Amino acid sequence: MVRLLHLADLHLGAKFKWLGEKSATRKEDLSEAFKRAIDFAVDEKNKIDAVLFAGDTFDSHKPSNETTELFRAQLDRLKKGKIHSILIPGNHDAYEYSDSLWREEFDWLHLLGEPEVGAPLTLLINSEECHFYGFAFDSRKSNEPFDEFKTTGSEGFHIALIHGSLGVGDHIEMHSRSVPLNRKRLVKTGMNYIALGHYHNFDEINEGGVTVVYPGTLEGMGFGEDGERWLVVAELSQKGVKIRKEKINKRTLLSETIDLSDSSDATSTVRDRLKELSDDNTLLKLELTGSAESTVDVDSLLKAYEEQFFLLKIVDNLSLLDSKRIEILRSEVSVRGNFVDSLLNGLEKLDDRERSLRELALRKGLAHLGGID
Amino acid sequence: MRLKRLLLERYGLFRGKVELHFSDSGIDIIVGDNESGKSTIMDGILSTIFGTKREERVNLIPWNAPSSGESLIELKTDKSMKIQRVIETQHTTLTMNQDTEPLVVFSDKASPQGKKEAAHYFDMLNEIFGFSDRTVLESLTFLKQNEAETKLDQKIRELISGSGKGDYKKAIDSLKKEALLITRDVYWSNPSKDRLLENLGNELIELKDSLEVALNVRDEGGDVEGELKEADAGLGKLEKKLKTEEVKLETIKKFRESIEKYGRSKKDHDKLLGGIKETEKLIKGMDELEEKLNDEFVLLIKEAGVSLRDELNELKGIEQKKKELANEIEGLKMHEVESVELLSGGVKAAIVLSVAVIGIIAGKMWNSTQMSALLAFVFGSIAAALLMMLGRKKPVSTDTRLSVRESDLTGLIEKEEELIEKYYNILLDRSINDIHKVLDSVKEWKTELKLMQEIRSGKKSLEELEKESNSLLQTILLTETTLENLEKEYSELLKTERKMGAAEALEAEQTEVITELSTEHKSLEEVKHENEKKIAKHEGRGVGNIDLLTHEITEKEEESESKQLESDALQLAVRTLEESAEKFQESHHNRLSEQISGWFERFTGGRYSGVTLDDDWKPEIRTKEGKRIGPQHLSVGARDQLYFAMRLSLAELMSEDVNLPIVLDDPFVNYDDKRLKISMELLDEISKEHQVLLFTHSPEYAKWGNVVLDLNDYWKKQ
Repeated sequence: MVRLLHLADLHLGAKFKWLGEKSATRKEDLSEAFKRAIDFAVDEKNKIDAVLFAGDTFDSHKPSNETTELFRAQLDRLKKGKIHSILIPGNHDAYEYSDSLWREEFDWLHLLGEPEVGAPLTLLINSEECHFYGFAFDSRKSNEPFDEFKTTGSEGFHIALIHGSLGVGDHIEMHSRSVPLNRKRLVKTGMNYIALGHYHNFDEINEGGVTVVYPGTLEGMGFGEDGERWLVVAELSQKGVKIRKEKINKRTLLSETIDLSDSSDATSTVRDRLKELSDDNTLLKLELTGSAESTVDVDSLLKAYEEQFFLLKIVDNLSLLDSKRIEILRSEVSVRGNFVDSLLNGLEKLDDRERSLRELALRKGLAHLGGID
Repeated sequence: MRLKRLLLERYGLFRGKVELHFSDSGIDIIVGDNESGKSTIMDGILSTIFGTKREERVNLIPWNAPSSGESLIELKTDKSMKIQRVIETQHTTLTMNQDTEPLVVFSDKASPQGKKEAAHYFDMLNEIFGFSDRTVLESLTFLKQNEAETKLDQKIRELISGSGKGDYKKAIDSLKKEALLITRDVYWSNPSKDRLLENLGNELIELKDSLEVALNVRDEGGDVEGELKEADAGLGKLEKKLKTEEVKLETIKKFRESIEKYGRSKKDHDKLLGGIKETEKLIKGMDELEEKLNDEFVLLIKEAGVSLRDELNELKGIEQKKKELANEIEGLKMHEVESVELLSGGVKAAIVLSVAVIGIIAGKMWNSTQMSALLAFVFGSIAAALLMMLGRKKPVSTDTRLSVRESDLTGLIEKEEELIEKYYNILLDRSINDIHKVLDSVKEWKTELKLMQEIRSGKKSLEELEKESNSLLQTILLTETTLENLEKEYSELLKTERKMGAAEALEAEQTEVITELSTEHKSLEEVKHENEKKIAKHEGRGVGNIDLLTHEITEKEEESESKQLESDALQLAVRTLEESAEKFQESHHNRLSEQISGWFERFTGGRYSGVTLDDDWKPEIRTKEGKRIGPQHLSVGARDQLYFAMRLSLAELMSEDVNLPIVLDDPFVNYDDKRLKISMELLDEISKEHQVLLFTHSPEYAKWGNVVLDLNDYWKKQ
């Protein structure tokens, strides 16, 4: 039995600019999550034999010394625990930069830094031969559909590390910043385990005796990386590959949309939901949609509830244009009536942007003319 | 339209019920001190019709009461209707009296923040009033204290704008300013907390530049690295190739050198060959001589042969007999003979040596060591052969013969001494003429030899002579073989010459190949050097991270896009608002002007003949005398009248089919008597077409109309 801790997309040193004053804390969260992952690896009861880093370990190809030292310190812990570490660079920390950090020496790290798949790295783990295949993302070499990738066929376990975009079925996800991967081809490689990186959410494919896994980020980097984050352990044995997941994230991102079209009191509806979701460790993005029969005072809601979240974002995408009360306003004998009528005119023929323009113009105009609260 | 009845229960100030029945004509008056509930009743009218927002509802709960109650209003347009509203839930029931049967046309929650269903209710209000906005009714028909305005144009713009709160012109200005604030910095603006569109644009340009630099550096760096790798690989290959070619060249060079050496030796050989030919001639001459000599020898031998054999046989017999004697003589003469023979051996060696030296000298004259050797050999051999013959001992036979022999020997010794002397002379004189002399001498010796042979003829062993002859022949044969070998060597040499030509061409070719390779190598090395320089330039050159830059650009683009959208929306709002105002002007300006003129004329009793509104709705008043004046020149009272005229006109414009009730909240406080009189007349005029509700603290106004509620009395009863 060989146990691999599969990490990817750690994005160490990420600046979280979008979080404003909370960015430093979030950056710290990321480092802490990484340390916890290594705590897990060196904890003897977990019996981890090797840690895989499937790309984008760092957010930048030239991270700060502090960040690099953090990484070195964790490698040192792995060294003490005699746990192998195997790494491929990703697109963020690409090897191809002339000043890429991977051009420096790292103790206790098997760096698969070549842009093409060469002979595998073979390690004897628990008297099993483990063959590790991998290559560094290279923007000029790695964009061709990923084709010839097969095991050497020798005894033991075959494990691949790739930083790429997995298309669905036959589809090849062409993307200039990652290796395009095809599911059908991957399962034909004959690998026991394919450790992927690049996509930030957990995903697992079991097909044709091949297990393909995206572990996802340890802490959500942005909305869309919602919910729980996982530590992924792959157990390779003669019986096959078993995936074990353990929750790792400290804070949770959440994106939610509320349609307020049918709400008799939109603000209350939003307020109630905020009360339900309030949590110090939650980053919430709440999108308000539907026709705006009544406006929601986003500013005062934010003021009242942002303290109860790690981060609160309310996106007002309510549509005044679709609301009945605006429809009523258009027949008013006034400049306002003319204004509304003019903006509602021919609405159905407009594209999204034009529609957004009208919506915003309506809001802006009525803010001065009166008519919305 | 007329309000018929208002009922408020547990509403604001009123813990219990308050009910008002309005008159069918004239002015209805509600009397009450401050804080007695006049405003609550006015609000009750509006709230019952238009509803209350959630945050305002809490204020409607009477003090010390558990909850708010209900309100009801009855009104009559072309038909009668009743609106009942539960304050807390905003549940509203609208009942219409179609003919005689009451019909509930709406029963649901209906408030300004209400859900979709409420829209139906407001839709109906819109049909009834021409608007559904509480503020419109409020601004047009609810007149409060001291509202007379000097900025009448602004007031009218506010009124025609819609809610009565926003002046469309001011709105346009504000929107324009807002748009400017988004797009670019203007001197009068405060530094905005948001980024300006212009700044965002600049930041985006910077970011995109950085990205381009990063991409270029990466590509360039990569290219350089790739090129360097290629160059290195190329150099490696070239170096290998060069090495191979150089080894080839080395071989060719060696080959050529050896051929050249052969060439040099060929020249020597050419000379040698000449020498050989010369020598051949000489040898031939010698051969002839030898042959002749041999012939003579053979003849001599043949002639001498028979007698010699006999003599030998005889000698053998005698010898046997005289052996002892001979031995005795021998013993006696031993010392002498030995010394003679010793001497004679030394002479022989000297001769052979000398002749060989002559050969060497001769050879040297032809510049050939080989020739020298050959000649030394030839001469040496000849000399040796001659000497062999010369040095042959005479057989010892009888006493007489012995003595003869002894004398012969003495002669011979003398002869030998003579010859030795000659040889030494020859050895001392190395001129070529001496060779001829030697040859002459040889001839002489031969002649002498002949003489000697003649003398010795009878005593020479035939077999020995034959032996000697054979050995000479062998020598000659050997010489011939040597010559043959030389010729062979020469022909090989000729072949080699051809080879050498080819080798030279090959070498030239090879040199060319190497030159080409070297040039290529050099240029590759230059490329490598350049690339190394480039890489050195790139090393440590911190370029931006492509992904992070791209991400930042996307974010900035989104931000910029949203700002642009906002800016565009503001411009659209400005444009639309300007057009809307223009449209309103076009369709309503004249009528509104006429309407205001009419009312104003009526209010002022013809003191003013009319009002004209310019494009900004600024009124210009015409006096009876035909003078045109601005509103600022009107008396305060006239301005009030004009303002009333404007509101009434607009209310009539907006609610064409229903004459809205006019609600007055003590507007005449602080009015002097003259102004009050004018106001009185004004209300009379209005009340001819509109229901007028006058709320006042002063019971003095009771005489103006019907008091429908005295709040002071109401509170006394409570």
